[in-house]
Amino acid sequence: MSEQHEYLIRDREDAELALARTHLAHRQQELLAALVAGAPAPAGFDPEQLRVQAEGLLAKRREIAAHLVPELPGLLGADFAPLFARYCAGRPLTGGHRADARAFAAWALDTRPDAAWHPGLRRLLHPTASRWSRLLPRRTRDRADRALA
Amino acid sequence: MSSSDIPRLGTGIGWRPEIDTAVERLPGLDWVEVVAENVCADHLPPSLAELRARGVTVVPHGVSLGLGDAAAPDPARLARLAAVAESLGSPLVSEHLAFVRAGGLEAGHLLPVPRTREALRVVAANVRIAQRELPVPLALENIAAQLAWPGEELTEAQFLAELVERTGVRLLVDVANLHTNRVNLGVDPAAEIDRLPLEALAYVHVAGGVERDGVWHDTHTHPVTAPVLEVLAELCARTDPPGVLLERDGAYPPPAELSAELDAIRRVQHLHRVQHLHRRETARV
Repeated sequence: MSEQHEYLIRDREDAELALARTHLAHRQQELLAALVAGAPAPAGFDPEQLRVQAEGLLAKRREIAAHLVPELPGLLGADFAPLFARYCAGRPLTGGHRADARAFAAWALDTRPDAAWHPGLRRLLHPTASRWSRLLPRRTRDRADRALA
Repeated sequence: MSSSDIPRLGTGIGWRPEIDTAVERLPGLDWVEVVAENVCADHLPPSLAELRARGVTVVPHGVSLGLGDAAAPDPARLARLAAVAESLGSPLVSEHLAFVRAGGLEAGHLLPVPRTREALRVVAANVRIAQRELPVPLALENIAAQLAWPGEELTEAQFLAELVERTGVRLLVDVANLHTNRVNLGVDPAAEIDRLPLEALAYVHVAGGVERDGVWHDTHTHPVTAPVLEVLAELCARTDPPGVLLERDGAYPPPAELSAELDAIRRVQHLHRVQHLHRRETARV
């Protein structure tokens, strides 16, 4: 905590606030790690409530990925939800949702080379790699390259 | 702070790009709310500019500031929210009483803050920092929780009341979230409303959800149900909210259905407004 945050301690009130922040950070880190990173449940929580909340966060993450790349649920069909759950296990969200959706798509491409949706997903992720890509307008090609950069 | 400082917003809906033209055409729409993270201050969607030009108020609603985080709010996120409020000419902005990140991990959604006196000190400090950086008043929303922290000292409404007392922050009361906490955590909405300083009320959220296996899911993709409107009625029986807003985030119905949901909200407000008037008249006689 002290490496991440610097507090200007001028008086007793600042000291109490700094202590409260450190304590709260510890409690929140413990809970969040249990909910999204498979860490052990902190003491005192209702295990059933933890399970429901963890599932809620996973569903929210999946819905946002589907919203940002609407082709994903369409292409992957019934595979989308279980694959997304597998992808999330051990990969807690650390950055933005857009990067998350892209990382999931790339992971799904590597994980299931035999899937019926594999060519469609590859075209979605790598439009410039298609043999017809030279027919795409230059702007589209540049955008696709940037998106994958 | 007096209630006269709080603008009358009226009845509104959450503006979303998928339903922009439907929102523009909703009859009698007074205002909209926009998810602050989804707009850029210097590239406002034309639909929002059009609504602004027609005199429709736009209020930015933040979802990732993390005023309940242990760390102080990020200056860049605050500056972005301030810029969005400036560019939309908004009379206020809103955020949640929630934590969203800790220890380098993102929750991706809103998680409850442990409601202790110690956490209250942190959140009050965070709210003061936000208030200093924002050009307009801030309102804080109660959340839909699926878990409770052990060893809590305050209810969510008591915690919010303390924040109002310490910082002058305003309240955004989500009646669907109160219903969610009733189903999932056994919290009585009416008792929670009684604990809130309603003179600080800025506006109200109404949204639909669904109950599965005894758990209420605050989906914002289902129609508004009667129990949620009953919580709205509980609130309207105590005060006339300056604004009420319908949130719909997906599985969008035809515009007529959204319009009917707004009418159902207006009916609840109107009924209680008439009752307030009637009581005032009777008291005078």
